[in-house]
Amino acid sequence: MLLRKKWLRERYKLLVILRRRHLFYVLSIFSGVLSAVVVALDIWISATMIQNPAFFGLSLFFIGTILHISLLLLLSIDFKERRIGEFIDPLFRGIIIPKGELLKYLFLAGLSNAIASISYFVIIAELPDPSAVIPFTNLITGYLLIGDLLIEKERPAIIEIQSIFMVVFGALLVNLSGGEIDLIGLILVLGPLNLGSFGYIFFQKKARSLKNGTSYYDSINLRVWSLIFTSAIFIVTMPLIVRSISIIVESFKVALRFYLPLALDMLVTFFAYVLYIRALGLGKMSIVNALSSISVVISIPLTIILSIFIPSIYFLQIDLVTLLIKLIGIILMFIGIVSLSLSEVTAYIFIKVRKRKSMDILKELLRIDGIEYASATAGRYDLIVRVRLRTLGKAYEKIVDKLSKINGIEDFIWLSTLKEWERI
Amino acid sequence: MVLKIPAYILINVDVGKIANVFKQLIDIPQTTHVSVTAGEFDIILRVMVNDLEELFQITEKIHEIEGILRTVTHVVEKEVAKGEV
Repeated sequence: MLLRKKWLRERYKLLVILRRRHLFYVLSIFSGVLSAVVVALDIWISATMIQNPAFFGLSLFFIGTILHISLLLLLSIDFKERRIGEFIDPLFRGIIIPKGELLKYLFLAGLSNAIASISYFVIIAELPDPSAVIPFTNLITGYLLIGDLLIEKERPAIIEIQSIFMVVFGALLVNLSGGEIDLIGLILVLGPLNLGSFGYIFFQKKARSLKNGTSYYDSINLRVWSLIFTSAIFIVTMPLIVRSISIIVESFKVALRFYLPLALDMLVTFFAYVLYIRALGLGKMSIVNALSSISVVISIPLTIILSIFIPSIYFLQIDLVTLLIKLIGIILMFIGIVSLSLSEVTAYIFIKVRKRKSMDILKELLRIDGIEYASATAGRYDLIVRVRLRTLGKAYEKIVDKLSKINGIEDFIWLSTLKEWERI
Repeated sequence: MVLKIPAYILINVDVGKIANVFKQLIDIPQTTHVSVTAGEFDIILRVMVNDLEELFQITEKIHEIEGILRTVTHVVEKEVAKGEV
């Protein structure tokens, strides 16, 4: 009993650590781990059950849609005065029917994902060696970096650019195969495939940033609805591309035949995306993506383990040079991710307010990027604000400049944190 | 029992005593954050208390720590946080 209590306390402690400090990193990286599992499942299904990429894609979307809707219903059930979905995303409050701006962003996310998925299946089906060009999907983080630049209208910190480049090129090195790179294949990857994936992440971030009353929309509804749109567009477009209407009926039959492995594949995909969208609510797109590209590293030990059990499907063809290149890639990614997670500075700002409601100012303060929380206090200062930034060099343009533009702030002092301790 | 009221205690410390004060502040059960800062105050302490009486007792306790010169207490009346809240 005592041991169990201790175990529970330790477990609670661990959860608190995750929530308070590293949630953003844990969500992004864990999403990457699940993505590696999805890739392994995809390989298994396409090698042993559904060889035709068009059939595979369509049957995956048929089962995926049914599974996602069922999950949304299941997660809306109450359990101990909370909805089950709240354990996955604390913002979940049940099913939402998207309208207005939310509907627009989710549709655009679904459309972009459909473009990416169609491009992917065309590449897999038409190219002699798709594995030579698919690694270039890792460059998507670079697209997102530009996207972040356009959204936030400010220069990223040098450390962000350095780390992201390390992760992107690291992932590329880990993933590169010795095959011949087909130019059209490369254009398809760098064009519709990467731009589609970029659009999906960009519009999910937009949707996640919208407010549903006082809080933000939850990642479960965002994922389910965008998948419904993706499926609808994919299912309508694929027969036109392969010029066969009967493919729909045929794929549906295939889906019913292999529903269990397909459902397992989409279940893991669901969790990978839900975690990814939650992370998008907490940080920049490029950083979430850089962290989640850890999946390419995870896929190596995963493939080695699986090759012991199913050597006919999973195998690593590694010579000494490839091994060395992969190793350099892993080291680059590791350094990039660690420097991203360690390069943060915290500070406090103490604010004196002129005749204006502190609550109004509190709300304005929260709109500033980098401000974690703000407290209205009774004391010499009216407001105490906690700041978390990538580098101190960003403090002026991100915070100080914006603070001075808020009406009602009389004076403020900035205290940079040199050393910190937090109860966990 | 759920602790309800957050409060900041801003502390000025005698030269060379920060490390010792830092250690002792961590030992206070109600402490949630201790930050050594550069600027007007040397240490920012964040505590969670049930009532003002408890906060009073903590400040009394802090005043007994060797090296502490001055404290300024701010009780949080309202707090808003970003992200998932």
